[in-house]
Amino acid sequence: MKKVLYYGSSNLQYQQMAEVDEGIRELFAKAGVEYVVPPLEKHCVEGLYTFGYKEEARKEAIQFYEMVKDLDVEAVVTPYGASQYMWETTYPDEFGLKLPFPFYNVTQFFHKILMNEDVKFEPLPLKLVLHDGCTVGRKMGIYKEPRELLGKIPGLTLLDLPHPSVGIEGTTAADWSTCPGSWLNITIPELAEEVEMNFVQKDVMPLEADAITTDCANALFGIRMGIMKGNFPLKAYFFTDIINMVWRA
Amino acid sequence: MDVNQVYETYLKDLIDKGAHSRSVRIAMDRAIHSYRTLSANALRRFPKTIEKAKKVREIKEKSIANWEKLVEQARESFERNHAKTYFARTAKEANEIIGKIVGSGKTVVKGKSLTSEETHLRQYLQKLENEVYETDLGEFIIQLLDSRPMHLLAPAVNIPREQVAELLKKYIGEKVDPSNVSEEVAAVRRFLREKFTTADVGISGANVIAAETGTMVIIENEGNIRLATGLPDVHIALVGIEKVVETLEEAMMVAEVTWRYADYEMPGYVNLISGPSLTGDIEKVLTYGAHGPKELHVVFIDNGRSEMANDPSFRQALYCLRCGACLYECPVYAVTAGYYGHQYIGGIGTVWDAFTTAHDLAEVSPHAYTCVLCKRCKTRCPVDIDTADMMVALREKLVNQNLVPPTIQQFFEGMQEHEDE
Repeated sequence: MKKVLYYGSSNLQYQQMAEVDEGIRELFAKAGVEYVVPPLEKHCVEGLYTFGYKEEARKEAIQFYEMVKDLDVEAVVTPYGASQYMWETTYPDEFGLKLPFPFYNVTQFFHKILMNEDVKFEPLPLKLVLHDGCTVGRKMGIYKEPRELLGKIPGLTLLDLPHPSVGIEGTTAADWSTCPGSWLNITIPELAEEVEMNFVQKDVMPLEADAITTDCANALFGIRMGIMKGNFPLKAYFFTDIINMVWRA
Repeated sequence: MDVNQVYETYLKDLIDKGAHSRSVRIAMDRAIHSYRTLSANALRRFPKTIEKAKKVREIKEKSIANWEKLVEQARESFERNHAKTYFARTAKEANEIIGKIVGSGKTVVKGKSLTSEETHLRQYLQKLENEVYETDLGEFIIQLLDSRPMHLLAPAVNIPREQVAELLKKYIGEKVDPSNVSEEVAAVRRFLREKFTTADVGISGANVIAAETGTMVIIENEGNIRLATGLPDVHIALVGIEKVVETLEEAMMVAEVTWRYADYEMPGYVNLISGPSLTGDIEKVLTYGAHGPKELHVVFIDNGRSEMANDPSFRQALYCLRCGACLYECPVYAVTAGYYGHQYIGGIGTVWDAFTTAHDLAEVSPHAYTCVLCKRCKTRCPVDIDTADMMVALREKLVNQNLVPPTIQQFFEGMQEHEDE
């Protein structure tokens, strides 16, 4: 894949995660993938839609559709699970808009590129917890891609978030992954930090890991807020940050 | 109703009483850990439950689609069994029907019933100068606290043992070791025993009703339902119209799936009640009023349920078995307990409240925006209820009625400004 639309850059900047944005761009460069960002700062309308502004969401979805549909790209790549879900499901089902590209979470996209024998990762002696984003894991079933890529890293100890029901009826850790509650920063900010902190304290800290990574940028925002609020000795990386650390293209 | 005022009031309870309460957090940690472990064990030991749960979804879909016919059939069956039946369109009607049966100056023992919480039945009967005792241990604690349930099945889930000891000392004069749950249970047992044996009326809900036979199934562990529905002369059951299924076989399947997802491998008791007590032991002459109740009254209540059944966006809420499993998976509920709730609890409770207890949709507006739409509740739900989808539909109604909380209004205005730039 030579040229893609990279969606999420402005949102990452807005959420003060510029380094994640830079990391993703760096990975594209290492992989030799040309990317473009949306020509205008149009959003995927997930917020409007899920907050109940369906008609406004429809209008803006049409604008987004018009803006990107004729772009000369082979795919759309994003670190936001909710955006991907919107384009794949809500746009066609609710708005009758079918964008003419495949959509990839960054984990899926870089899995396609890096999951071959020629690609070697440098060792990373890290005890790392993998958090599956709600939409990425539970709604879209993306499970093996992040695990296979992280599993290639020598020296890395990869941990899933534990839940007693993993395995029942074929469910995976992604099905039971806890939401750190990032959306609450908009809906009920006073509650957000409590939910975020509780997630880190109860789900992650007992694992005694060095760091946590996630495949959803929105989740990363919440996890970082939770770490900050609880002053926990834990680092939080986006998935692509980890790959950047170990892949010298 | 001013949505900003609702938001402020809700926020105060949610944060001050819920999220910032150390005792709530301790109790929730214990309850969530215990629930998840026990329910996983129960589902591993009885793996066919998962297939049965899928069947139960079909049963509920079919039953809700035919609720009018099934309620009519259930009423005929109960009447044939010498029970009396009633249909209440509203909470007020239900309370008035029950109030007339009970009268005043009576002692009433109640089993746990969310439907009676919905109608505020205890408070109504108390106003009629009756002595009313909640007999489920959790509900009893809630009654002492003058609070409301914080979980569908475990009403006092937010109260740690230390606080229970203080309550027992204050209200029933029993001094117990605050670290010893057994002592606490024994103290309540001593207090309520006398109430059971002297009560005039026992009130219960029901987990499910079989229309064909006129049989209610009530799941319990404590034994209070057996006493409350067995000892007093009069038994009154208040049941939502969504509880009715066609056959006893279907009802038992609904019951089994309910208790399994409520984390019980097998509950202590499963009560089947079809009519008042009777005997034919003297010359085969059927005589009603043997050792158990002389009268059984079954009150079916609508109170917004038929409106839910008619709305494709919300119909699935009526499939809820009230096993409470979803709440133990909710990341918000884990820190707030039932303060995330209006009368019912959590995301599914918000949908229920919108149709049953809220006089104005504004009352549930901030609750609708408390859900993080993560869908882990759906993963756990035995009947695959998609609460997140219903929450988005509810939010759309709120937007259309201009009832969104101030934070959402600000978000929307921010988006509009961004577009205008």
